Amino acid sequence: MSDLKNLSWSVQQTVQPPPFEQLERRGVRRRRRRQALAGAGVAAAMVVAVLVTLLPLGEKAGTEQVPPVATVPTAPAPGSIEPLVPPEQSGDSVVRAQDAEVRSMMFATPSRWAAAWASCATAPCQYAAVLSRDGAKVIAPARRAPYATLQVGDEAIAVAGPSGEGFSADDRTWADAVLVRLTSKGKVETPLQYAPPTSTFTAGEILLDRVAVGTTLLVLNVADATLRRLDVAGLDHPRSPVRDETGRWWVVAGDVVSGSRSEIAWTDDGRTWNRTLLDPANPGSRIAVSPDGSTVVASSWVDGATAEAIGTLKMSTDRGSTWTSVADRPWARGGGPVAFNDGTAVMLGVSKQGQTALYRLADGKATQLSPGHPGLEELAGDGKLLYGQVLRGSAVTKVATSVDRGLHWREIEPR
Amino acid sequence: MAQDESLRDLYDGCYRRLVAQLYAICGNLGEAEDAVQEAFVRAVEKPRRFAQVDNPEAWLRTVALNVVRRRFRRLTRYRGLLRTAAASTPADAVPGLSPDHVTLVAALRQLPLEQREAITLHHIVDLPVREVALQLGVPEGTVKARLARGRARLAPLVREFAEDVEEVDHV
Repeated sequence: MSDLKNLSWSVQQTVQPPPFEQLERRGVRRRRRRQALAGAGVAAAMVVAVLVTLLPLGEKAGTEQVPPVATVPTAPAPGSIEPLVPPEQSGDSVVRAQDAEVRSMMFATPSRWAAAWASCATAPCQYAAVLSRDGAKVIAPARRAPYATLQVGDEAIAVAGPSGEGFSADDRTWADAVLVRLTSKGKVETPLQYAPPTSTFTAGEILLDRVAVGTTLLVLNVADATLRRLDVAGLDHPRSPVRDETGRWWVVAGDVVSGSRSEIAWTDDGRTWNRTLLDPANPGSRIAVSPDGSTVVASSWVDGATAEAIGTLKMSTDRGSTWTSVADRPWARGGGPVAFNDGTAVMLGVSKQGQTALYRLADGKATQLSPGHPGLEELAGDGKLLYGQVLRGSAVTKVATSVDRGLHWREIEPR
Repeated sequence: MAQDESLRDLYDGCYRRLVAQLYAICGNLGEAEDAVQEAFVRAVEKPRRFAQVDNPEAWLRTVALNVVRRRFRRLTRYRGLLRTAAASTPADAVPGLSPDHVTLVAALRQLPLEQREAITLHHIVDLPVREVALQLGVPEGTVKARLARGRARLAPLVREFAEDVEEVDHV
């Protein structure tokens, strides 16, 4: 027998199948739920049909048609074409889809957040977002490009970029690019426009790296509703942008290919960048900064490892003047890190035995703090609120939050 | 019901085998079991569709493989890796595996997902290259290239690969 088949045979011997009835019950429950939903849909359609027949809507002379529950009127972009997503596919149906999952989450304050959702039951995937502001909640329209959730001041916003490759001006999917805000007056949808690349950016503009295919760092100008590429000479593949309250932006940079040298870079004015070595032999992964900018943690990752094995974990408690390599770091990164103003940080780490745990980073070393919340997949936030998506079975519909730096957690479903 | 009976027979007959195959791809026993169980749950959920399937075991494997791929894609996104990176769930120890097998599992986990899929479907499930290509939705040439690269990287650990690392057209 071949070595691989031999391995497969050995694994088979260790597998203990659960009782078939257990799976059968799960399947039957799902079937019934589907049938019940289909039944409810038919009933609702019949009610609508009856109402349409009985109520002579719009037939009286002089009566005004009730406008649809409107979002802010969105003027078509110059030269734009019809949106590519069929109008009947609403953001609501994406968010409520049976297979919908939370792709990203951003709490600007504990009561103001944005959650990006995806539904991939049909190809291509459809994306939408939910925005919540002090109890009010709205849903961003369905799009074919994923939404990024970002913080602008004390507001959480959602942005969907063009879904085409290459981030070019003539990409027809710009017609779908949109910036969605929830202000005190309600939902505001603004079409996003292409702007030519620049090598600098100004205070108040937002850096992001997750909104378009095939690009690295982008600049979002919320006031003009434009999105553009940031090309900084000598700064290769900048990513994981994060800003502290002093206005300083931090990134990790360097090629993404295995074995690449990586750097930590930062700028105070959007024009000149400072940099320091992160890892001479591994690509950069993530960088996190505390709100006051004093504590910074950055990591590199080792290629080939199946989880995100950490190459090095560097930490500064003096705004980047001096750096320490963190000892006893976890084998792989599970989420975070999140840096605090007091010179410490937390991250989800994976031990060599494969266990995920919450680690505290302080005084140049990592120590296991707690097992973390079961199923926690990501970690973001600050000293007041930690949060991250939770994986249950094969679904991610919940987000766990903690107000005591990870000791206790509660789950919400952000939709 | 006869249909349930046959699904139960199938469960008894191929659950372990499917889990072992999926384990070779995802490297995590819990995840492999979750994926295979999900496939059986879907078979129960949609009995009419499942009854029309020509090759039930292949159908179950495809569904389970899609569950693993979906999770893999999600992890890759969450962990902020760019396109060149490989990612999967953490390894877990399978009790009773010999040290050689533990090393082999670790080596498999070093391969990119697409190479692991090709290697598993061709060398463990014994599907011909044509069928692997159909199942993965890629051209045959791509499957051959993935197999060649995967075999070359596993050659130090797998005797039959060490013997003919050069041979690409192994069908």
